Amino acid sequence: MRSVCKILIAWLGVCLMPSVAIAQATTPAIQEIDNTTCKTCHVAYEGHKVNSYHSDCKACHSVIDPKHLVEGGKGRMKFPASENCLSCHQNNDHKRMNWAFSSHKQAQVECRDCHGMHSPKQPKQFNLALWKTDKKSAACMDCHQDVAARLNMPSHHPVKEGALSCVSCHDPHGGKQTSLTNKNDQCYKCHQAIRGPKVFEHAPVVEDCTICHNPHGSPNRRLLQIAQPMQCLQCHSITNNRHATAGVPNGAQLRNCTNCHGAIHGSHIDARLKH
Amino acid sequence: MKLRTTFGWVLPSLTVLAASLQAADVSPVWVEYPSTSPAPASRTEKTLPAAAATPAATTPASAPAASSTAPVVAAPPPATQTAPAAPQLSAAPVSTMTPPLAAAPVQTPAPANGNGNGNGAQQTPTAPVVTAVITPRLFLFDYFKGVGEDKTHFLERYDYREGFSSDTRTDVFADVDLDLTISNADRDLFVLERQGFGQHNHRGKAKFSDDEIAFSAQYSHYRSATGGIDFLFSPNEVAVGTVPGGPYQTFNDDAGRFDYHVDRTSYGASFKVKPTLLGGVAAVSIDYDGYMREGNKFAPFYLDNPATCPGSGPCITNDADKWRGINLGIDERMNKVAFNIDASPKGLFNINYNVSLEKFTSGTADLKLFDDILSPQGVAVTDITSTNRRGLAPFFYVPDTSLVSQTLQLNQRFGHTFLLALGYSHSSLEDDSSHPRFTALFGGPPPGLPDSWEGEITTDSAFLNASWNARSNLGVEGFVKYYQRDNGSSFPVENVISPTAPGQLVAPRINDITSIDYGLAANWRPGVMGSTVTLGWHRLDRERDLTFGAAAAEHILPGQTLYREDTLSDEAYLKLIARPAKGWNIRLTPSYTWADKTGLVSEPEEALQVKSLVSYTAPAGWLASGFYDYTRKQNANNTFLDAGGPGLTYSQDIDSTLHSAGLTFNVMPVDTVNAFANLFWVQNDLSSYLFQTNTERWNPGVIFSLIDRPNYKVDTYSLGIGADWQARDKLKLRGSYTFSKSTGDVATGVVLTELQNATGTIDSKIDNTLHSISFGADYSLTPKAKLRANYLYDYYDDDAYSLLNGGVHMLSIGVSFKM
Repeated sequence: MRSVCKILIAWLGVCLMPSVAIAQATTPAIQEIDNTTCKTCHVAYEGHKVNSYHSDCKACHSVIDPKHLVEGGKGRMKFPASENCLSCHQNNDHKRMNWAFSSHKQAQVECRDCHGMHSPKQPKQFNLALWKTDKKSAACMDCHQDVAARLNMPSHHPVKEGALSCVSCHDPHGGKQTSLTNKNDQCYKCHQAIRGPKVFEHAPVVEDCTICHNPHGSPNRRLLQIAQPMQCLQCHSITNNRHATAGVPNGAQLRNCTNCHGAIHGSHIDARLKH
Repeated sequence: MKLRTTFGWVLPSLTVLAASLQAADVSPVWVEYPSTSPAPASRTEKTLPAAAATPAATTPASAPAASSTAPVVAAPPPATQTAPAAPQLSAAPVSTMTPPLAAAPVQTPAPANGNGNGNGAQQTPTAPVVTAVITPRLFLFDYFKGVGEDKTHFLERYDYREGFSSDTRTDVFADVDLDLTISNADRDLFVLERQGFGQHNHRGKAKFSDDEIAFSAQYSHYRSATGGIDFLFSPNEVAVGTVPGGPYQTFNDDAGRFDYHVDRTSYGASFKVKPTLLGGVAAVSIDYDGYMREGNKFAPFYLDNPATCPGSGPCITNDADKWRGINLGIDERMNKVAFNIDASPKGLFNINYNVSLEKFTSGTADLKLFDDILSPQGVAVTDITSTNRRGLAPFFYVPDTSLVSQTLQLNQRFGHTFLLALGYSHSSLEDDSSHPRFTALFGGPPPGLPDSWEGEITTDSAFLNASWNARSNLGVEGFVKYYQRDNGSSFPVENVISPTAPGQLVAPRINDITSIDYGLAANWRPGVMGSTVTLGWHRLDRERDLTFGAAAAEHILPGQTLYREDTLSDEAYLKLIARPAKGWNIRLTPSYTWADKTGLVSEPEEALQVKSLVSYTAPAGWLASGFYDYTRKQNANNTFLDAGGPGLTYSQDIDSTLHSAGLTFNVMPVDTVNAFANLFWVQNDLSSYLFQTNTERWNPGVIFSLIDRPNYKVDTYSLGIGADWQARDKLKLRGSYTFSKSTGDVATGVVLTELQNATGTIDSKIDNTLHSISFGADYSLTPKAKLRANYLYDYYDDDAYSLLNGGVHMLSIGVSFKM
């Protein structure tokens, strides 16, 4: 009987020992965690200048696996999700108030994917050809490679030249479902001369600028989706008595419809949009 | 005895084994660490004061830390502010830690408190620290080949350079970059930045921000010369740009050779009062934006000579005088002021109101047809004088306008599961100058009819979005969007626009466009491969109120236009996002659209779209990603109808396919080298029917005929490779090469043949290549001075229009001084 008891006591001791060891290692270490603790290992962040509201590591990295401390840095750390950031950055902020319905959110892009908390986010691709590009646009291009390639096409909005930025037109925190700005109205923020009102309007201009234009870039002049005359011939027929010779469409006229129809975005005096 | 001994060894052995396994358990026992726990008094803080206990009023993993130093203790966010639950519950990705970036100067940050908008600020008085980097640079450039100094070089369109001696081809200029920051322990108080690339491309901004207010200002100046290239394609600049015989045999270039360019100078300022000053419940800002746009563009046009004269257009005696081009000045100003208020009363909901007033003016000289266009060129005319209506007609008129806009948005979370967002906006665009201009033009109104025109467009937009987290891994979302554009401009106006007077409503007037877009989506996390699946549907219902002109009065009627009053389409889509293993990211989004009605041929009657992306980020930091997007749109829904003859119906048939694909690699083969490579391809393939008519579409006897099905197909490829190398502690080298090529025919069949007959390859073909090579070096002369040198070489080769061939060398040398 005494042997059994000894065995049981020994067994209990063995059972409890790892737990006690873990508890002794876990509980006091977690309680003592502060920025200094973090920076003991994460020395690179020691010198980072961060906004005072971001300087408490635990404020964002608020869930810590005990093993992260005990086992010399192993164990998973949870990085803050967007909801953590939005707990501060959503109130009194119309730019982020509808983040939950945004296109980036629906694509599961997190705040940290674009924003640097400890230091400014640097674009991954450092092509020297982008040396004039603003940093925000360069960061967008890290993911939106197709758009970056279009900005290199012969006709493009001068984003890589630094004249404007992706955020000049796009709201990275918003989405189509919560946008109160019509697509055309976005273009008219800079292109008021085309906005009108005009006496004689051109239907695709009123409906959607992107029917004819690709705002990022195009191999065709004037950001046209399709080069003239094909762009126009989708909707328009050719009149024999004006655009053809002996019934054959005339190349010199076909090549550039806007050589005659110069007021293609609308006119105050000419219903045929020539001037 | 033996049995007890054996039992005595087995049981402890098993227990030790179990304990070992428990310790090695990979499923972490997550500890919700209370951010307000006190630090031991014995710990020496290197950068932070010891955290003092404050009331734990926050929900775990959601609220910011509220630790603070005595004696000032900031109030933590209200306890009622619950952790916002995501409408789409995403698996919390475990990211690899981003390699630390270049360290900023060492600071002593104060402990965090309050929220990002300045509530409950904590002040730790320290002397402001000023850091500044100023980089004067010298630029040497040389544009070679190209058209000539009096015309735009192809590579000059987006990089217009001018040196000390005003030479735009080969010269030297200087500029300076500035980066100044004044910061204290809490934040960057003041930031001033400027980037300059010469007198025609520079920008800057200044920002001041503390816990109570923020002020910012910015400007940019940029010159583009894309219009210069357009001029090079004008009828007189290309061989066979005019038609032998007939009304298009002569193009009259009234502009002459000119350095066409447009300057845009934008500026703005913003002043914001943060919630700290407003009881923590609101933020208010006033914003100003404006721009000046000045320059010139080449404007070609054709002067009508209708069969009856005097008719609706000017009467030009000689056909050879009708086709003309002028140098059109641009002189625009825009100024906009906006007031914005955001409020989150007790964190219960968010509300935003914005009102803005914008004024746009065009200072371009008001061109009158006779005085400014015809008379100076000695054009023979009939019934056009300097005082009658035809002669006084405003050419290429750009009206002055005012735009007043208001928006109101609200969103509210109900518990952790339901989120609602609403918004409404109204804008009114009014023409400020046309009315007096037309009144002066036409004189007083005839009895009973207005004889002037006023322009007005009003738009209304609204949205309602709702999301519901039905379960932890299942969410449902719905939305409704409303948009209405009302054309409130004067109509009809005698002698200006009328459905009855001949030729005054050739195309239908768009009175109103109203659209409603609504949909539902459900997202589900099945718990496999870190995936999220979203299934959605939405419907677009758009109605247009159109007014067509009277028949037999030079007005196109509904049967002779492809523009329709109704659009009704549905789209169903699937979004799959998966993270099957660490570092992997897979996205797939197929969607299908079908329409019962299409208002324009550019809308899809049927469309299939697939977007796909695969990326892998290795623990070592290198990255590989690839994407492929496919879109095919078809529409055979819209028709032409013979008004005369056989009375047949012809369907336009649009078939458009867009392919887009790319590969990207970022690698660090050794610690000192960072390299990238990317490859991209896009193909745009569109075919449509080519219709010809025997006469104008407004003619009662018009008959359509289908003569061909041309196809536009152009491929664009680009390849980029580059690397930077930290060769020494003080020396960093960079290099990159980019190759871009676009090639294809703008049409096939009859259209291609006739374009080739006219101007050869200039307008029938796209075949161009751009090579860009760059090298750069940064050398630290001293700890506070760095030499920066960059060399760029671009060469553009155009096999369709060889006149555009040319290249540019650009060398910049600068020294960054750090203070």
